[in-house]
Amino acid sequence: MIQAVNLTKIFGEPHKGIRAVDHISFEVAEGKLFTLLGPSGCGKTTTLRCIAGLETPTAGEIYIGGEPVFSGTGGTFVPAHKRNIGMVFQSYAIWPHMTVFQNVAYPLRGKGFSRSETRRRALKALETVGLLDLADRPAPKLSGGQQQRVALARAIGGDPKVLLLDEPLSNLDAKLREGMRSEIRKLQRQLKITTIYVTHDQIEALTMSDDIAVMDRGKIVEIGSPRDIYLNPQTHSVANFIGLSNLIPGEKKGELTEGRALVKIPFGEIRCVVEDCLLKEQKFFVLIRPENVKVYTTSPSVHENVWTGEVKEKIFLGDFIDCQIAVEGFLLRAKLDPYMEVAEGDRVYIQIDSKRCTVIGASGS
Amino acid sequence: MTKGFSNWKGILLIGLMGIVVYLTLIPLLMILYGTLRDGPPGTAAAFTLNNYIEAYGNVELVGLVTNTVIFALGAALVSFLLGTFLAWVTERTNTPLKRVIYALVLLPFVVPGVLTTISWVLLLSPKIGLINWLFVNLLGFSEPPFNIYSMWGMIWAFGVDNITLPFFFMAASFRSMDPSLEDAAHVSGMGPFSAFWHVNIKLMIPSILAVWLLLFVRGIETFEAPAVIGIPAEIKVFATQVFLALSVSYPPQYNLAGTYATFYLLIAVAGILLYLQATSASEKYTTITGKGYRPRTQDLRGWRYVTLGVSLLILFGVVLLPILVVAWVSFLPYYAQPSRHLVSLLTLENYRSIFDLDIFYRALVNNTITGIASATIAVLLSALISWVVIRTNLWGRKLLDIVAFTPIAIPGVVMGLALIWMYLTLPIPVYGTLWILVIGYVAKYIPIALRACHSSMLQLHPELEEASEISGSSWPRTFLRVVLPLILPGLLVGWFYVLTLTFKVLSLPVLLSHVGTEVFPMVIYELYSSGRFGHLCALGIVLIVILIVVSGLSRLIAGRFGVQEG
Amino acid sequence: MNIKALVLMIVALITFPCLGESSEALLAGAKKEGKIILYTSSNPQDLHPLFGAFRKKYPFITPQSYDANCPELAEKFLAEERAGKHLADVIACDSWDTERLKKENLVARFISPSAEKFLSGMKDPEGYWATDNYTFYVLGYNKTMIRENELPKSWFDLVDPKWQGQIAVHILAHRLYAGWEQRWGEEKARQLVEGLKKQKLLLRKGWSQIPRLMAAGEFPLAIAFVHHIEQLKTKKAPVDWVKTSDPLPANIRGTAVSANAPHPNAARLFVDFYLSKEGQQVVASWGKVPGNPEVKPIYFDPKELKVLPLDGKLMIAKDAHYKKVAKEVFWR
Repeated sequence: MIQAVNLTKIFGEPHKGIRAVDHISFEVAEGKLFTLLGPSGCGKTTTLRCIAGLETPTAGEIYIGGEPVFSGTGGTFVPAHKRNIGMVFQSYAIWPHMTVFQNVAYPLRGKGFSRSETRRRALKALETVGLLDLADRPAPKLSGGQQQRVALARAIGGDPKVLLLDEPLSNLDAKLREGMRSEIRKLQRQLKITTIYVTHDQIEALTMSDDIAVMDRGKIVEIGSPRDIYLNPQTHSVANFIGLSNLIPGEKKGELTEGRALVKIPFGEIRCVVEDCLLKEQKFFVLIRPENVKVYTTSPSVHENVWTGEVKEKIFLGDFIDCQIAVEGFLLRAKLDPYMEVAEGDRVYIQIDSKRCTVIGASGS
Repeated sequence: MTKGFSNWKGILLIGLMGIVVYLTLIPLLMILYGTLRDGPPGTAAAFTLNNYIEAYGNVELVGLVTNTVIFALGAALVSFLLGTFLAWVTERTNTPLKRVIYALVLLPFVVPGVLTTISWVLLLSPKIGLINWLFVNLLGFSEPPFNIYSMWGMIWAFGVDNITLPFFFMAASFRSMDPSLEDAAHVSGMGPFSAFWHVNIKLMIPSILAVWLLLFVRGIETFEAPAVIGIPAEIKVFATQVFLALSVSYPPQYNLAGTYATFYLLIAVAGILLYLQATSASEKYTTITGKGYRPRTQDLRGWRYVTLGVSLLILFGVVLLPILVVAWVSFLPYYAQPSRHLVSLLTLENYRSIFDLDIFYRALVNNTITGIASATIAVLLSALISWVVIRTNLWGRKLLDIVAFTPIAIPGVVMGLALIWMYLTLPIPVYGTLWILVIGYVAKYIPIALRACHSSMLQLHPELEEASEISGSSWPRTFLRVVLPLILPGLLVGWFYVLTLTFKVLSLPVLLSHVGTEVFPMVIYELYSSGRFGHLCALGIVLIVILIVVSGLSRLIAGRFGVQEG
Repeated sequence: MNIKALVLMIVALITFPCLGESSEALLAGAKKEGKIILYTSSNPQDLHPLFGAFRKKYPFITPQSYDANCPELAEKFLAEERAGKHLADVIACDSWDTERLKKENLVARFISPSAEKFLSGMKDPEGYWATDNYTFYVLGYNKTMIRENELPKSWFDLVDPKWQGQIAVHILAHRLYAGWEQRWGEEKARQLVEGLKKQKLLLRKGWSQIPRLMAAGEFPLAIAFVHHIEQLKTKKAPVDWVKTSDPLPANIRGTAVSANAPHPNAARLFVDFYLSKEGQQVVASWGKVPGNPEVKPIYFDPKELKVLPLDGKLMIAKDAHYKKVAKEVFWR
């Protein structure tokens, strides 16, 4: 449904300017929610704006519904107001001089719908987001969450082909954010609308997306489903960015058997999942998610991948205890059951399931 | 599929540039050309540098410039402080009786400047000033404490007369503030003053700069206070020289006056460059966004009666006093200090005779038509120019702003003459009609309307426009339905200000007008110069009454548009 | 205007400087033209009765006026004429402005029958303009602040040290000085100027403003125009002026017909009316001094005064000189 090919955007001089977006390509299938995830300055918002038509890319191509809306070589540029896109801005951009209803109706009138059709659609959109009873309220008299819904209603009122969301939840408090996350996801599934979502929050990305593109400094570092990205990140930076991680430098020690191999690490040898191609490299990183570092106060029954260590730091976080354990000088991060009683300075055993630690290439696989 | 990316924006820029160049640059170039000649256009004149030598090669220049700067800065400071304080009181606090304050602040706007300046002389002259008389005779002072004939007197008389401009600008700016920014400051530990300073003042820098620029340029150009007060006080400013060139020389040396205008021009251009530089990071100033935007007032509790008292005191001392003098004189056959004898001479003759003047009605109608047309055109053009300058990053947009701003530096008479020449020679049949006046006013007052629009445009978050674009609206629709309504405070300020100026300022229409197209300032001037001062005072009072009615009506209308208060 | 009238006018101008004989033709032409446009520095309140009287006599001519300050008025007229736009019929301005226009051949030669008896100095010897009204500089005083027997009787009395800081003068009043020089010659005029330099003159701007301030008590003596003081007198203000000053320099005005007047016949009729006894009586009611010697101003008889009409040609030729000297004493 949406395709970006070699999309590039440089601000300033072609050779000296800032490469906000650097030759990225991706595809979003119809009806899917695709997330651009990355830290600030990685180019995700610029990419979104290019798709919207609010920025003119420097090079590359963008197709929506099979039609080119931008082509650097072909000289095509379809202006934003002709692209039939719905967009929710980070600041919501609700027009303060209009009521809720007027905000939603404005684009519909602009698209040429009759008054009665506009009314029907606007009310339907407001109903979908649950704001029907606030239709006549002036926009500035809404709470943040309500404004966000108005922005959504406005975006979907005209049945656009594509929905773009630019960090829509970043200004809401945690509880509201959680609620809105599932609502947006439900809405998107219900309307089956192709959506691109931009965020720096990995929880949003992981919970809402069909696919995630992790971006860094203008490039797409990795594309994959939330599960793949989390469990099997392909690069060091992605692994670090998504979720909590322990990244341990390692060297090849043994050969591959049943998809697992022995890897030499600073505090011993660990048996973990390794991909074939990575074995050819000598140096790589072992990724162990903290929830996979099992901590025991007594010696565990399983003998594979066991070490002893000292608890250096522990923080109670409610649903788990965030713990740093020193294993022969190397600090490992672990998630403990909140009921577990350990104190700083205690000696503990840690055990790691070999199926749950993977290897990542040193420079990006 | 449309080819080409931002072509239409470029076309808009070029179109606006064309209009602005036509309106302002061509007369300006004619004037500058004239400064290098020793005779008026249409005569066989030779090239010469004499004008520049005479204007600037003069030892007195340093003293002149110093006086001019002190006067202009001092007056600007007075106007700014008073106007801003009153704007803050009416827009951001819960002080009671705001309508009264608002109405009083508008008064200096309406009264002809020559009246208020002379009123201050009648109040503070060491020999005949009413206030001095009070201090000496009723409060037992041995010497009259105030002397209007001094630099302080000049600064006071002019500064106080101009509080309306900063009031309008700063009020519009206050109205668009986002209080959540102040809240953030409070929460992070800043006391109210600290929060005000760090958050509010910094965000209002574009408005503040605009106001200062306009006030300062007016200060260096104005001649009323320097004439009535400065001359007896032996304080000469730059405008005194221009007066010499135009009124005392025979024949009037318009070329020399134009040469003086280059000084104003330099200051105006320097000022606008500074302004553009300071506001170039325009994202800093966006406060009208789509979220959490609720302009709201500060609860002063008991202190609000104090602010009310202070405001009323200020307005009494600054606005009402001179108007009371004007009213007093309007009922007298000639001016004299109050005495029992004089009370018996009170008369309504001055009022009667105004309504006998049929030119009064003709001028009123003409002025209303030209004023409304000029104000509307100027403001709409300014909105477009402002949008191009602030919202696009086209090459040449700063140049557009500078060129549009230059007429502020040209003395009205000089501009009028240039326009006469243009339209007597061009085959455009506007000479002798109201249209040439409209052209003159639009050219001369776009600079003011532009600053007013800029202030509001800077506060507008670009995403509000982008949301409209995305939703399928073409640019004209976005401009009309989203941009214009949201910058309405700035637009209205500009509109009212230009409209009122057309009623007050004589220098431009005196040459551009014709039989049947006389406008109001000419009536004012005629009354003044023919010695009918009492009639002029009566006229001033009548104007005040009209203003109060009109402003009451328009406040009702303006309240319907713009953003609803939270 | 039509060709016939034009031809008639040219013939009339060339052969008959006085138009008494062809007044029939004049009336006929004026009837066809139907209006006249006057550029003047008089104000509309004053013109109202003048136009009213004119219309009574010539109901088929509609008079219209454009009022502005003299220098601007002359500039405007000049600009229009140079550009080939002929909009004004009659121009009534200061005589030096009219002289300037005469130099550029923009005024017509027309000797109105009414102006025949005008005194020399009140009309152009070559017949291009005549004075509709004039005013002169006088020494005004506040009656409550100075007794009659203390008054300075002549200009030279002003250098008495007792008047230091008591006399108000308009800034750069170079025409006043021009009057002194035209009367006494440069040497004696300079003597007076030297004496005045020590008098701490109170310099002000605004010819109509100065006598008003004097009436209010700001200063006891002021040099002003006689018509402003007379105006204040009619309102019972405690002011008056010294009648024995010699000279009383007079700003003479010159009313002329435009050389390219769009309504030439009506223009001549108007000027003639304006300068006639009837028109000049209206002028007298303005408090100004009529140019016509047969009509006296309301409050005094100019024949009893030493009025000195300022010479328009000299005013232009020696303008820079007069200003230079005036700057020494009337400018700080």
